[in-house]
Amino acid sequence: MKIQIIISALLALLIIPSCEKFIDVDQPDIIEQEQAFSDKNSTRLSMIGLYGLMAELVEPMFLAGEVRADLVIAGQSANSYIKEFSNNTFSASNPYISPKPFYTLINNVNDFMREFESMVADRKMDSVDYLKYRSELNAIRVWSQYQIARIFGSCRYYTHVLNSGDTTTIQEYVFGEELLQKLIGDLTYSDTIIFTSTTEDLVWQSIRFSDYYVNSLLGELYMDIGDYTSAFDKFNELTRYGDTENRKPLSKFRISASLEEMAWMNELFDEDWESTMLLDNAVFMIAFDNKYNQTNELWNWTSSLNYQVEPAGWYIDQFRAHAYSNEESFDYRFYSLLNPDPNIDRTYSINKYTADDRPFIMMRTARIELMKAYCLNLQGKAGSALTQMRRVRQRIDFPEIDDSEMPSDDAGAMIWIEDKIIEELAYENGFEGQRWFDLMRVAKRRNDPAYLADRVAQKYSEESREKTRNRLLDEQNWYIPVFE
Amino acid sequence: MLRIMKAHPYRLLLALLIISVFTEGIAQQRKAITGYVYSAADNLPMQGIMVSTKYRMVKSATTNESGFFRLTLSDTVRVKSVMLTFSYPGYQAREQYGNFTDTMWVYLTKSDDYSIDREVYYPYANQKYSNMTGAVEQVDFAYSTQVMSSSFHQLLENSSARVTSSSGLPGDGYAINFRGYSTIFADEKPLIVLDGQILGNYRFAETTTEGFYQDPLVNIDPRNIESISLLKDASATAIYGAKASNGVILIKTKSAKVGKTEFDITGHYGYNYMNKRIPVITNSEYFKPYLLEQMYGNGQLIFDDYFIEDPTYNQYYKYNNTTDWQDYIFDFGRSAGANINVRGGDAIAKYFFSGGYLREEGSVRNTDYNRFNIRFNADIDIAEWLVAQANMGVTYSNGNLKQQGLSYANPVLNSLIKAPFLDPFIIDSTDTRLPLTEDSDVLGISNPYEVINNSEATLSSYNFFGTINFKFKISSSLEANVRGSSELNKINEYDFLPNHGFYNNEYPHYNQIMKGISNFTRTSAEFNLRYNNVFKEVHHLSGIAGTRLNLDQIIQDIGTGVGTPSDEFKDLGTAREEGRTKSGYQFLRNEITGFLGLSYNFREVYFADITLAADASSNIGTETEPQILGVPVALSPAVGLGWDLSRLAGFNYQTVINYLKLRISAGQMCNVVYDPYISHNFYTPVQYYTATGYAKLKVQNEELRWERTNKLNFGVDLSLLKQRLYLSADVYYHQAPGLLNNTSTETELGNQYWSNNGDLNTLGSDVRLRYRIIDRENLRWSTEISVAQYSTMAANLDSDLIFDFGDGQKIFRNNKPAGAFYGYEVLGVIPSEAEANALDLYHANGTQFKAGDIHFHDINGDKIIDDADKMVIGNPAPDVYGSLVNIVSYRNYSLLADLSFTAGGEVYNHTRRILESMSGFENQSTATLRRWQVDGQETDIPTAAWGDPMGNSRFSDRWIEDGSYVRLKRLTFTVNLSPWLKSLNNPEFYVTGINLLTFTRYLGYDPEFAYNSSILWEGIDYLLFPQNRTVILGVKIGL
Repeated sequence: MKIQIIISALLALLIIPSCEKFIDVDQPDIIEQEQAFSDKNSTRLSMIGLYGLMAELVEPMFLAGEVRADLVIAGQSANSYIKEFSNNTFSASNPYISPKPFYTLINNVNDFMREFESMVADRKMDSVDYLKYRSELNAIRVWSQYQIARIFGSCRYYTHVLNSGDTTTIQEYVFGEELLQKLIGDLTYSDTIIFTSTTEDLVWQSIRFSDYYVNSLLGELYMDIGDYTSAFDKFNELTRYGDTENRKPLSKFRISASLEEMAWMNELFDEDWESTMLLDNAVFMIAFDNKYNQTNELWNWTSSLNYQVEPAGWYIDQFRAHAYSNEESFDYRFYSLLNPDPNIDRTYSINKYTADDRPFIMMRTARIELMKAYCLNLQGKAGSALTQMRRVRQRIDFPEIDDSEMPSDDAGAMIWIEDKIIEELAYENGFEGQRWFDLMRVAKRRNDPAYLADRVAQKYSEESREKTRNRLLDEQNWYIPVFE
Repeated sequence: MLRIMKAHPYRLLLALLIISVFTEGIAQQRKAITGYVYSAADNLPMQGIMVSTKYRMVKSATTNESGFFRLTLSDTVRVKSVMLTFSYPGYQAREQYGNFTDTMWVYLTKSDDYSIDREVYYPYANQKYSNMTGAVEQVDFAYSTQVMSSSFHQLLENSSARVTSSSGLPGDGYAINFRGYSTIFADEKPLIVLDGQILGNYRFAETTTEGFYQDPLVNIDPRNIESISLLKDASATAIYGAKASNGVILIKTKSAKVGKTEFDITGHYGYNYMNKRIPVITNSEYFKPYLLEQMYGNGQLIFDDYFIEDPTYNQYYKYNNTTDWQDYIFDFGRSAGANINVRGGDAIAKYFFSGGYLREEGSVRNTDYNRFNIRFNADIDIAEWLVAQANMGVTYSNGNLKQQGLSYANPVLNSLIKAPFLDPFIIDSTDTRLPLTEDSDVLGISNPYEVINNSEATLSSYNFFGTINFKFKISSSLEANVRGSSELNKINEYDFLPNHGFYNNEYPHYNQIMKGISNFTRTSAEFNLRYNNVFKEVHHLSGIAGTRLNLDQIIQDIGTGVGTPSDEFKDLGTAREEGRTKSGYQFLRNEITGFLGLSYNFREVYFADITLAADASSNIGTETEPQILGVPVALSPAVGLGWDLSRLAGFNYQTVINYLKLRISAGQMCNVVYDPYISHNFYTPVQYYTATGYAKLKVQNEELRWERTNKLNFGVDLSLLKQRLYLSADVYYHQAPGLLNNTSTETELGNQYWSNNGDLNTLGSDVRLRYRIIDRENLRWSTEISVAQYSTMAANLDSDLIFDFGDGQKIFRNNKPAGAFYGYEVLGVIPSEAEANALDLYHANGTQFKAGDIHFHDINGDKIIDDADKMVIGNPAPDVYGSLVNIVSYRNYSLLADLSFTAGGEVYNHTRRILESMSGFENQSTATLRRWQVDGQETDIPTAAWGDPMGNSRFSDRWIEDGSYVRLKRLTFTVNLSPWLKSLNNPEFYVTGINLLTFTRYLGYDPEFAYNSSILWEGIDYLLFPQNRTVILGVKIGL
């Protein structure tokens, strides 16, 4: 009898302990905390997921930054959601108007930061790595907050891991001075810590956040608060010309000096973007690889097969007039408009997404140069600004800027040059998702809503032009509404 | 007395209680108990009945010819009343208290008849019904029903559980629900315990055959079942912990028996059919003008071919037929089965063996299901202190199915919408029918003849349930049990939908191929200690404590492809690269449950049960509270109290009331059975360029809790008319606070996350009545009524939870019935232009509703019919449901009639929506012939309009119908052949008709259907095949 009791007791003892382990199951389909952050290497790799989330933002960013603006218009075959962006009217059912994917990126940044902190506490990560990762994460968060603010007009600012019940207590900031100062403060933290490895291969250096991109992002933020001196300094740190002694450590980017140096052509049109020249010119871009089932949907939207998003008629006309204005030279940037049938004037399609996995460029050298010109102009350095602009046009072997119509008074000249830069950005930087924000920045600076409204209105047909213009005179309508 | 009772019923109860307690132990002068024993059936005195005391002071007596007995006890007995046992072969032993002052009246019930004295199959041991405090129901089923049922679910027809066959497709599963719903997104199925083994009963997320439910429970052969018990309240179910919150079904298969080897052979053969037809237009003269109207609306050129009325035209005969396509779909299907049971053994080893075969052909042509079952149960006495019990069942089944639901290859759907002027075969210009079938037509509809004959959907499944239990007898009152169990359910599916004859909207010119493999395995172990003792004859104490472990593995892989080189290539590998998809999932689930149960009763008059189960599961998030030793543990406590008034000392009304017991139970049942993705904070691989990283796509909720249901149950059991009438009634209230909810807390800051939000409250009752109306030697008539009723309401939701089920919505709104249909209310059809202008209503897009359009109720009065005008338009939960069974037997003949009924449930008739929308080229029902056509016409059917621009066919109460029905579920005539076949043991012959008659106002094929057992899908008739009607002959032979 005793034997049986002993057997029973032993069995009971076998079952009861290690309960915690027993119910802690490694789900084959689920990656849990321990796997994602097991050691330094897996952590490094885990962070790549953030850029994967960013790749999903390319479509909403392009719609908000480009399709709304003056250079493009929705084609006949566009779906109703794209048309809504083109018409600047929005309905709740539009899947592209949700800030959710941008916040998802922020939530992940916050989550990673928390995990890293606990890894440092557990001595799984050293403090040097931690600082590097943290400043990269920090920059991604600022970037995302900035996109939300300028697209939706306001941004909820939080740096902790979101949990249920939190959502109502998080402060919301409108797109303005207070938020921008906060973001500049945050980003300056990242700017002080170098986290780009110089040994990294060129592709990865330009498709991840780098110190270079942090600098240019800071430049844009400074521009938005009207601090053009700081903005110029930030942009200028990235470019190198002339004497080597004064060169800053980040001075890596240089614009081609002449038409013969074809780098800029590759930058714009080459399907094989992984060629080194483009990488020298791109500060940051979001990459795709069709071998891994990632495609840039913009290729689909803009290609001449679909015409979902087309260049606006006025833009084709103006660009043509500009490109053919000189008998000796031709502005090869006009190739960003593709005309498969030369006999028909208006069959142009957008030619900047020449492959289904061409990257979405967020910042490149030519834009930096034009931003520098813009900053110089607003500092009252009209001459330097024009020189800066000529530097961009020199590489396409296009003639000097005709400044005969430039007003002689300083204030008038500043406005004139500003308009010129915005025109130049249309040729140089069109279809890259920045146009709406560039127009908005000028309209805000001049406190002249009509500046944006007029420009955007010109792409519409007669009947809807006035109606849309009037709507865009209200600054509130510059932002995409967030529906409940 | 009656007046007092009316005024203060509790005072009477209190008085009885006081009397019973204070009179205990008072010594009496007379030391003899006298009384009479009668037969309950015919109220005649019984002679020779053994009367004995139940406990130590064993004394006995027998009754004389007038049923009288006198039992003399020694003078030292100091109690006032003594428990006596009355027993007689062929009758159930009865236990009744006798005292020294009153004459006892005792009524004995035959062994086969229902009584409260009977033992009920109960967790861990049989128990007498009269000793329970929980709401427990023993399911009664006739032997003939058992022999001729294809699934054990049919045995539950007369219980208070609501059992609905998913469809008439052979082998399709069942939805079981009792006592309403206490969950929306967690598991809503009751727990199934088969021979002590807790089954996974896992429903895979997907199936390649639309609308088919691979229910693992259909693999349990009903012919092997000995008894079924339903455990309904907290007190009865708590021992099973956090998986039992929806109730428990206990199934016991036939057990081994000592004695001569017995053979039982049964066989049946019959037909399934379906003679109901939906009245669609079969006359081309009516359909063609309608089609013409639609084509004008579509702005299409008229297809000359269809409308040419000239018989010399070479396509004339092709387009001028009168086809009722439903005739090609429905047919007689055979139903056949055979089974052999063998049982026998000696004092050391006993066994039960069963082998069975079943074939069901559906009333939808080319559908069938075959099942082979083997079961082996054995009891082996290894030593005096060790008994081993093994129960094993193996099932292999295969079937030919068809797509149901909204699939483009649903033959029934196609037969309803196919133009009646077409023919399945090519008809040439001389009106000769060629032996070649037509392809899908220009109107974009498949050829139903091809669909029914050439679409393939095959299924094969292997199933194993096995458990072995070792019982160690440690002492007379203590035993230990060790159990190991294994469950395996493997399903292979293969579907092929050819190109020829099919119209596939998504891939118009390709065939389609689908393959699925699903695998569920469970390994479980249990250890428990049981204690049972009686102290001083009056204190009965029993207890159980133990632990259970479960290890589940769930894997499903599904591959689909389109466009193999031709319809002869039916392999997934030959499908085109594009359009190939692979989906699937797998997860592991480990669970551990500790449980403790204590039962105490005083003199078998006052009963108390306390039960506690603690569950830890890998399903639960690791941060969830409360925690024990760092592990989140779901606690399910329950208490049950019972009071047998008929055994009180002062109670001496046996001639009127034979039994009266009050029960009350309360407890909190947890539910931890849900998708592990809900509660875990996990990362998803995210590809970026050439590298893969991780990201969280949802905002996590660390406070997420499992679900809980607070349950309260009051019950009364009553036996009257000398035990011929039994009544058992329960009233219950379930409150499920903080349901898992995934939609209402969505914010702009991130993807939806799960939260605990909203309650479901259910108030209900169930009543069961059994009455042997006539109980003579040669003529017996018994009736059994089961009526149940409940209503489940939503409460405490932060905001409305709206569930979109594809083309309609359901709503959970505070203080409204849970899962009610949500849509527009229709006030009629606008008869005239003048009326339309007076109403001045507009579609959300700004178009005015004109004459012939539906007049929707503009609730907010803004003249625009939009989302703001939606309201609750129907509650799919029935008001009341139940069954009425009558069994009449005369000599060797008996007749069983089983009526089941449901009243008040409203259902969504999707079929009718397709057939009355009048918005495309599909054939329509004959009701559309009275559609609005001229100004001033008063009708209930709106105008036909291509594409339905005004949304007249939107989800509204136009499609919600009363789903009430009364159905003659089963009519069985049995002849016992013993007088003619004396050499055999109880040979019997049966004729059964199933679903022969249905009375309903429902306009679809059948008001009984279940797309899914979840509350979200309740009452949605998504074109599942109608239930079969069946006529079967069966025999049973014993050797």
